[in-house]
Order: sequence, then C-alpha cells, then structure tokens
Amino acid sequence: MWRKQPEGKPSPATPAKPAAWDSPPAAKSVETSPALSQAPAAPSSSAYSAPSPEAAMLTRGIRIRGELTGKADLFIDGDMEGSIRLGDSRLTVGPSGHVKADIEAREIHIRGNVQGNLRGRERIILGNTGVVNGDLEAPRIAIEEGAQFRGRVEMGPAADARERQNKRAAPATAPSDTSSNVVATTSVPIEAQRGSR
Amino acid sequence: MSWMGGKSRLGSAAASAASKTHGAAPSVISVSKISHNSQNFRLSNGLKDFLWLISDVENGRLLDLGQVSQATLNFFIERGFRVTTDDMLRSWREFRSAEEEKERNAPPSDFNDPLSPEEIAQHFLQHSLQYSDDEFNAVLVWDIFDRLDAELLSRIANRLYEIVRPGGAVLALFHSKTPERSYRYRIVDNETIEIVSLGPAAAQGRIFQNREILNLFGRFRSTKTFVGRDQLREGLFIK
Repeated sequence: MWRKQPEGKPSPATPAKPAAWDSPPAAKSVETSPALSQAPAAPSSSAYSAPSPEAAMLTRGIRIRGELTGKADLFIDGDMEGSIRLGDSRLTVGPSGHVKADIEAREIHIRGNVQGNLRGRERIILGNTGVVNGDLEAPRIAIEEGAQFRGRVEMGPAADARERQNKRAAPATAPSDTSSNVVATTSVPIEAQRGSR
Repeated sequence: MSWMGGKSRLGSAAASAASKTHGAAPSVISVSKISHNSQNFRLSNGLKDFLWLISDVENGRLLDLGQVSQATLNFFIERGFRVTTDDMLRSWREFRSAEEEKERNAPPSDFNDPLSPEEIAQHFLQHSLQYSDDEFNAVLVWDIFDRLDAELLSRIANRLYEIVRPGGAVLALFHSKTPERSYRYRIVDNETIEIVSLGPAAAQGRIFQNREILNLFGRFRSTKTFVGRDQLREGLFIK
C-alpha cells in the first residue's frame, strides 16, 4: 500500500488575496434584504475562492441562527449559528465570517472562523486566514499555509466512495441557475444587526 | 544510536527496521529524492524508522500534534491513513489566555485563589487529547515538548501512551540547544522533513537531556533516539 511519492516538494494551493474580501458590502443591499443579499461582483484577481457574482450573501454585521438550506452559492461574512446544507452549491466563509454549524456543500471555502464539521461533495479549501475546529470530509482538501485546523481529515478515495454511495441513495437535486433560492429556516427569529465592528 | 528497552517483539522488529533502513531501504518504502541543499530540509532517520514501523498498517489512524500541513496530510492520506490534526501548542496558548482572562474578570474575593499551574494543566487535559484509548497507530509530536509548560509534560506523555495502539509509534523532536525561533515541520518524503521557521520564539524553549526523554516516555516499550548534526534529537517511541 506504500506507494511511490511524487518527486519534489508538494506545492501549496495558490493563496487567494484576503483583501478582496475586505471591502464592505453595499449598504443598500443589506437594507433591502437584511439577511441574504446578492454578493458584489468578485474581483477577477481572487477567482480562486471568491464567491460568484450570483452568490447570495450574508454580510458583515448580520447574525443568523437556524438552518440554512438551498441551491444557490452562498457567501457568509457575518455570524451564523445552526446548520448549513447547500447540496450542489458552493459555500464561502469570508475573513470576517464566524460560523458555528455543520456544513454540507459541493465546495466549501473557508477564510474565516468555523466551528463544526465540514463535508464537501467535491472539495474543501481552507484559506490562509481560515480557522476550523471540526472534521473535514471531501474528495479533495486544500489547506493553505497559515490556516489553523483542529480535527479529523478524511479525503481521497474513502470520501469519494462515500459520496458516490450517498448519491445513489438520494439523487442530488439539479443545480439551479437562479441565485435567490437559499432558504433560511430559523428556529429563532433572524436577528439582523448593522455592523458596528 | 541504540534501542533502549527492546522488551518486546516490537523491539526486535524495530531494531530490524533500523538495520534495514540503514542498509537497503525496505521495498515497501519508496524513497524519492529531492534537493537537500536547503538548510530547511533535514534527512531524518527517526522518520524513516517511524514510517517503516507503520508501513504495513491498513486503514491506519495518525494524530499530528503540530500545525496543520497540506504536505503531511497528503503524505499519510495517500498511504491510506486517516489523519487527525490537533495543534497542541495553539490549543494550550488559547486555553492559557482564556484562563488569564477569566482571572482578570473574576470579582475580587478572598476565597478565589488563582489556580496552581498543576490545576491549570489538569483542566486543560480535561478538554484536550480527548481520544479513545488505542485510537491511533501513529502520532507525530514534533517539538511541542520543548515548548509546553513543565506541568503538562508527563501528563501528555501518559495520555499519548493511552491513545496509541499496542505496536503504535510516536515520533518527537527535541532541540539540543535553545532554539531562538519557532518552527513548524512537514514531511517531504520518506526520509526528509522540512523545517519552516515561524519567526522568533514567543517563549524560551526547554532543553531535554537524553535521560529526561527516556523518563518522560518510560511507559513505552521501546525508545530510540537519534541526534543529527543540527543538534536536533529525534525520539521514536513504541508502545
């Protein structure tokens, strides 16, 4: 089982530029839709882990507790506590994001602070500002220099096989091209606070 | 280098491992050569023996007590291991900060004496290293023993003994001269460790004598230490 190592030093994933996340969200979008709004167009320089322009956005200063499910990409730069299930979509936690939840999504990009278990159907990327306390499970996992992580890791064939088994058991919902179908099911009222951090 | 202990089959197996690895490398381990010109790359006999000892393990479990490293993760996951990362130094620092914060914010009272270092260490271990007994086949300790507070050392060594399976191995590094910088480590190939400087050390490290290392890991059945030209001592401990 001891296979030959590829020669040379493994190269870490290309670091994304955290500065791209730091620009505050447009105030207008927060006012019109306090919890979930449209993400601003992502700068092309941070395509590696920037949220897609269509991604729904939970901005800085917003706090939400409950269950998040949906079919659209989601960007969280605020506080979230509960659980997140995005099926075939991508979740990005920005550098100001604080998430206390188990997360399931196709792709999970973490640049903020997450406490919970992460399950990526395709991949998980832990950015250089990311802090995760919880287990990671995905066919592919990338961890940048500087990331902080505490937990178990399962990746590669085992995670792949489990994913295929899950797909057979419950066919995945077709991905949607709309961006407004992330649903926040809250066990307690959504609490929207304008950021004063 | 010599095996100290060797009370078991594993002792002789490990001795055999040592002789094999220092002669022709076992065929199960493929040794890929990289450029070792950089001072940061260290040929490691401890790592070679450590890997040889766990090379036949199927679906093994590895615990890494250092900072998370993509290279180290990939290295073991490609070999069928499930990896758990538990950055022990960071956990300890965060715990200490939280305790100090609590003390600062506690209302003054004649009855609230500050906790002794031993009590703090005990509290920390009630939340840390909470794994099942015999859960891991292998543990990478790196140099955390040089950096942890004295009250924690024997407690952590004992806990490691409990969570390692019989036959499992622990690899630790000990500086033989006071390190002025903090380092992180990652596995490059079957015999090479990359040492990455993280900047000036936040606190002065500890220097262990060989005897102290043997005492600390006295419960393990077999102990082997190697000292490199860079004065970094490697310890391989087998349960």
